[in-house]
Amino acid sequence: METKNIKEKREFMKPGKTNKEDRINFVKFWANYVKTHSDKEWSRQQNVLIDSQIEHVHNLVKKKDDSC
Amino acid sequence: MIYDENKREITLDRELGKLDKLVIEFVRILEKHVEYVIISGYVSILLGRSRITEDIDIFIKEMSFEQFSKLYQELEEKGFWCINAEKPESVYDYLKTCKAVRFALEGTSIPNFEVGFPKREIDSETFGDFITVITNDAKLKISSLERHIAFKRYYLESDKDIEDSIHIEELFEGKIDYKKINKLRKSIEEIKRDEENGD
Repeated sequence: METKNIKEKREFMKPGKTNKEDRINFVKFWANYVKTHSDKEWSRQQNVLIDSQIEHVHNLVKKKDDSC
Repeated sequence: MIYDENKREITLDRELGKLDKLVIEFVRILEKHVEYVIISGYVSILLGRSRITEDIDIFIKEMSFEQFSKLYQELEEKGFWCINAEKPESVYDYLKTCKAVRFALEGTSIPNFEVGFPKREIDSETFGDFITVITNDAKLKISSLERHIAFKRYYLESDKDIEDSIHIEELFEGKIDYKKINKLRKSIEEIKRDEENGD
């Protein structure tokens, strides 16, 4: 039932003819997602991307410290 | 996300990520000592843009060395280090000569906070043209959406910057003052001409 509801809510992104156009289409697609979903929902997804970068840096520092 | 143009406030009910928490931690130290405004990439990221960044750009109002020393001391006590120099005198010299300095958490270099005094009149105007983002229990001052768009589109101009601008324009469609952007664009074009002429 839940999968059906998710499918009904789906919006689609038009693929770009070039890499640049495709990127811009995605930026617009995502901005629309942010506009139409709760702050909690989009920020949870955004944090997966950003937190992984920070965790990666911190792990590198930890590894360096451990090897000293 | 609610944007109240009259109050110049955005209310956000976002889940705070590690980057947001770090920014809040840094700004809470900063605001005890000096006025600040967050500019550039993190403005778009805070408002939902799906990209990573290595730095958070912040203007701080020009301050005396004595005031800066107190800020510098507190940053060190709270675990931040300056990537550019060790002595506060040297860091302050960079700031006074219109160079930005970077602070990061001890043991790391990214993400870092690129902090600078405003170089030009148009930069100083940012302190009178900011909006406050209220999220969870924190308040963050960011440059106005129009100023953010104008600098991204007409000064910085890289693909990443244009995309940052598009994100804000799409998100706040109908709430952006394009007359203001065009006015800023003219000033930016003058700055660019001066820079090309080496002024």
